[in-house]
Amino acid sequence: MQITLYSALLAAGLVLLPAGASRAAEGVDLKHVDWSFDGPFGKFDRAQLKRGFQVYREVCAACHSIKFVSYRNLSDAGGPEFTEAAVKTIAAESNVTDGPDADGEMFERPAEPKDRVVKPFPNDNAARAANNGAMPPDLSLMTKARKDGPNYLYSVLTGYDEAPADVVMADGMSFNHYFPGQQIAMPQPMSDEQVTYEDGTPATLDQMARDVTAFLTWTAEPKLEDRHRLGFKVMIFLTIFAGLLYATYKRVWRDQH
Amino acid sequence: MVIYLLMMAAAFFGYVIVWGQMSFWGATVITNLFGAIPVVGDHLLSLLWGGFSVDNPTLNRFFSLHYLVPFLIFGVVALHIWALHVPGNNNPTGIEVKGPQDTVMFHPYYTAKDTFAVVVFMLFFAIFVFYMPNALGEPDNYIEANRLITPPHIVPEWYLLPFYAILRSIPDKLLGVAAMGVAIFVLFLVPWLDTSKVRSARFRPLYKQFFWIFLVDAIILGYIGAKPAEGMYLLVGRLATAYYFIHFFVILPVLGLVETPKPLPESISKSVLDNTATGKPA
Repeated sequence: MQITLYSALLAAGLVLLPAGASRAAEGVDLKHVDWSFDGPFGKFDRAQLKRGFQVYREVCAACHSIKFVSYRNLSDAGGPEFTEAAVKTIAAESNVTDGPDADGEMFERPAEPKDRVVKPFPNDNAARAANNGAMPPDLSLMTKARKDGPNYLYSVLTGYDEAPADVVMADGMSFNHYFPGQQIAMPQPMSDEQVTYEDGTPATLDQMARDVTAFLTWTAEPKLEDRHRLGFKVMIFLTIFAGLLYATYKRVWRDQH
Repeated sequence: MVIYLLMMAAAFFGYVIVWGQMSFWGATVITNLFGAIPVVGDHLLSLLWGGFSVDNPTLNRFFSLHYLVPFLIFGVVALHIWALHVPGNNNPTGIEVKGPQDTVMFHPYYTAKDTFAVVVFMLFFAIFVFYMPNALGEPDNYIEANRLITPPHIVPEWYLLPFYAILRSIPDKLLGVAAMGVAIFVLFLVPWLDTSKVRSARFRPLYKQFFWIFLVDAIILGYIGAKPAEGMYLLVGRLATAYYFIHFFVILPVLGLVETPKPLPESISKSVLDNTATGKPA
């Protein structure tokens, strides 16, 4: 049983590790939000994911792609769960280049659920050219590509401020408390009432930042709910199985010693 | 030992084929180690890369190697089982088996005990798989590999960190690589470095303490490996590296000569039965 004890201690140590890691590169403490998807039983809030997608589409999508997400994913279980009809409508609003057709020509057609979410720029150079030389990164995996991603994203989105008098800003940069270096090429992307939510939720900056962060956490972890559900079953099974095996082990060894 | 080395290789190849930022730059760092070898280094390097830098051919190679290495491990595991059956195995008391009362059958005794241990480990493992899959990874690896952008800190996965710390604490490329190599291969030499007649730490009070110090040292090295190589971290890393080698090359041989071991029990069965009588776990 000694080994079990050690591994339990080790597990406890490792679990505690990330708690200290939720700081931005500058050592600024990130804002902390109680997300619905945190913790072993965490689930996404469907209405929030739908609102988050709306924010992405009406605000972020002007510059940022989510190239690993297809339109059909929007109706997947565990995601925003739009109806298939709604997904078709959403997809049809953008055009994709397809082809070549029988004449060898490329042609434009409305996007379908099978297509990847259409990127705002045809390539990275076009994206840079339109954005003062800065490349708006793809957001599909953003919440996993930063330390303590969801909190980081929320902090950056709500962390814009006037530059303090002693900070010299480069051309076209904005001041942000949480971005490493505190100068970010992206101007403040959102302001109160910028979108009108269909479900009547007041579209404050804070609310929009939360919603879009939740949505982007789903794009990075589309199977999070499945994972949590299956994990719970596996833990129960393994615990019972370990108990049975321990009883077996004790019984088999009873006559030795 | 060879299994451990191959396992490290397989893990490294597997980490590279994800082809994220940390994979790409980790591959750059590790493959460049071969470039430190005198004379053949450069040729070895272009063979490994399939070109003049880490690129798609490297990725292809690593895919095949990642598939090949497990078969090598399988082969070595077969040797391991041979070694278990022919020369026999050691035991926690470190004394020779003296008769049938000293041994038990592998099945059912060890199958029952080990299956239990395996499931307890799986329980621990499942916590990571289902609830914190990213706890031990680097967020940078979710950014696609980009040869024009070097991440601010290149760090390997946690299980390679102690060796990475050793590599970094030596300011010369060739010596650093050599030190890292020795840090792993020294484990091969332990049977000759250890001068003690007693084969179990249970009867070696001094060695037991040094073992725990060594373990702490390895954990410190792991921690240092994850931190940037500057300031205090560099100094601590160097001291810890020095201690790592002192443990093997000074403490281990000297200790065997100066230490007075506790008296050994007459046989395995006797030691076990005595313990049970006094209520201690075997």
